[in-house]
Amino acid sequence: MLELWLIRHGETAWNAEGRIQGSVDLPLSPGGVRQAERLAARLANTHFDAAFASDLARARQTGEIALPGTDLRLDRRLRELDYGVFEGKTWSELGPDEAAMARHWHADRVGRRIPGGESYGDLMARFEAFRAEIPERGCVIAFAHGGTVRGALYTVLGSPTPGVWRFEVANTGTTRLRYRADGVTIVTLNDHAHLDETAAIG
Amino acid sequence: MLELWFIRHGETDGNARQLIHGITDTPLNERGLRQAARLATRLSGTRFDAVYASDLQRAHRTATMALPEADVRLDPRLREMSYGIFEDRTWEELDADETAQARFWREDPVTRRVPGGESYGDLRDRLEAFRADLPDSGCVAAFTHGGAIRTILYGVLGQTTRNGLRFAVDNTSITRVRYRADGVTIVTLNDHAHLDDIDAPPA
Repeated sequence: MLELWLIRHGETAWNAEGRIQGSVDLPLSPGGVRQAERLAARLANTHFDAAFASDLARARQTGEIALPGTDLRLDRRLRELDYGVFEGKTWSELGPDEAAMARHWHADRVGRRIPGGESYGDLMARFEAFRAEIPERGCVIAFAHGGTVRGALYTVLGSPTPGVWRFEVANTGTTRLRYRADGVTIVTLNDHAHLDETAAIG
Repeated sequence: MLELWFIRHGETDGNARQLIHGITDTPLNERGLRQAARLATRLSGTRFDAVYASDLQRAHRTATMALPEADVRLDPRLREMSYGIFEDRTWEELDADETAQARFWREDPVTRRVPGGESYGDLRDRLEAFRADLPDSGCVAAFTHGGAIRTILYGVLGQTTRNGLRFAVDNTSITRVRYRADGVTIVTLNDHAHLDDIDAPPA
């Protein structure tokens, strides 16, 4: 049995501004660094057999802060969805042509590729290729992105019908999946208790 | 937009012994009381517009310990599934039970009732009736049970157990679901961060 902990990176300036960020490579904001530090306190007593990170700075940095001294293996298959022509924009500021493109894409995000970018199907295929290479036993952590976490969940649950169900994936949120011989157990989804106000006081 | 926090009760001796306890009404054990106390700290900064609990004592007690100031309304629709003649046995025993009635139920637990009890479909329907009576907006806590929370998750995500999908639902864990006009968002599932190191020896 493999237990895989998937962690979304801490906040970046573009996250804070609501800008679409896929393969554009921005570092953590000061707030994102603090989130990663909170995560570090949370993970201090957990043993992992291996630690991976997307090679994008925000994921790598989150891993370095959250698990100091750990040998972090970079793997580009954990990257965020490549948002192609949408990168750097906010959903609300898209021009009429781009907005039409975005609607078309949203209606089938798994099957349709963003112009100049990827589909969720592409992302799920590279995530599954990554997972297939991990040993089937032990506890493994991977620092990745919101899209990577959603893609991993879609591989388990199937693709969502647009608008029927969604998942929230907070910065430094933790999602744990247990891969058994006969299926998958969702252990936690988007646990971000370390960001609670009460955590700040205690 | 309505946000519902589904919270499982703390541990009972029956849980620790992996007994099937649906409507069997037993108290929290010592570990369950400690879990509920941790949950109280965790929720101290959270405001709910309304708080409901199953009328079974393990859920009711968890609610009054976790939210001591709240007006906790009891609602039997939040009860665990009634496991009828299977109550008080272990899951292992039931899985190995080859009697006709056990086999018959296992083949289709969603539509077939346990003799003297309910089906998962019955459970789903009364949970849905509970939610339908809530307002469309606000933040509501519902102290309930593991089988009930799993039933909600299978329903929301349109899944069945057939492909081997399972959900972990720990004692006093928090599962937050946001209901919008056009669908649902799972905000967290089985968040039990407040239980980290609960079994560690005191320093």
